[in-house]
Amino acid sequence: MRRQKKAKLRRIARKRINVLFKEAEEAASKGELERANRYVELARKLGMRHNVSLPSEFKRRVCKNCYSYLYPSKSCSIRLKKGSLVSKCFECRSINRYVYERNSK
Amino acid sequence: MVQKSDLDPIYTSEFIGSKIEVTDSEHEGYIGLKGKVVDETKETFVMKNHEERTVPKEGNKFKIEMNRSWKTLDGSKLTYRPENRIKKLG
Repeated sequence: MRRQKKAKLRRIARKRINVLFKEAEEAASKGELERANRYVELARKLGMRHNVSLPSEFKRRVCKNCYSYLYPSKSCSIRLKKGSLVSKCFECRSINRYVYERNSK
Repeated sequence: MVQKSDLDPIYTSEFIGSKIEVTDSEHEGYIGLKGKVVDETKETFVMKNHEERTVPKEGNKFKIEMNRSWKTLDGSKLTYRPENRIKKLG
């Protein structure tokens, strides 16, 4: 019974994380970057409280160093270099790399 | 099994991004304020229409748009941090 209840709470948490990232994207596209960062903070807190990890498509939208929302051209730059996607956060100047080519010789 | 609460599932959903209106309040000045929820804290909502207004949850009754229908909310039952609300009310 308890496990079922926890699963129900996690389902709600996942739904709310989706809503928050949708709103964060909208806010960032209007240039309200601080608001977008606040939504990321709320989504992360929801995840930590209910043991839900952020889905992979959202993980790429958050800086791994300062947790600010990454919106290409407004809060990060994106370059393709040597088999990986490199995004540079404008907030903390740190670099996040995402490999897209694993089987190259 | 003991039901923890018989509240509407709306109480555990996300409010940020949806339209909200103050229907009843202990303080007259808040009645009729409406806008989009842009932030939520333990004690307040921040709603934006033309300007941003911070409205306390305690003592206020709200009307919120979810899935194209308006639902009523009792603000006094919502005084938890947004991430804790699921556990406390779910």
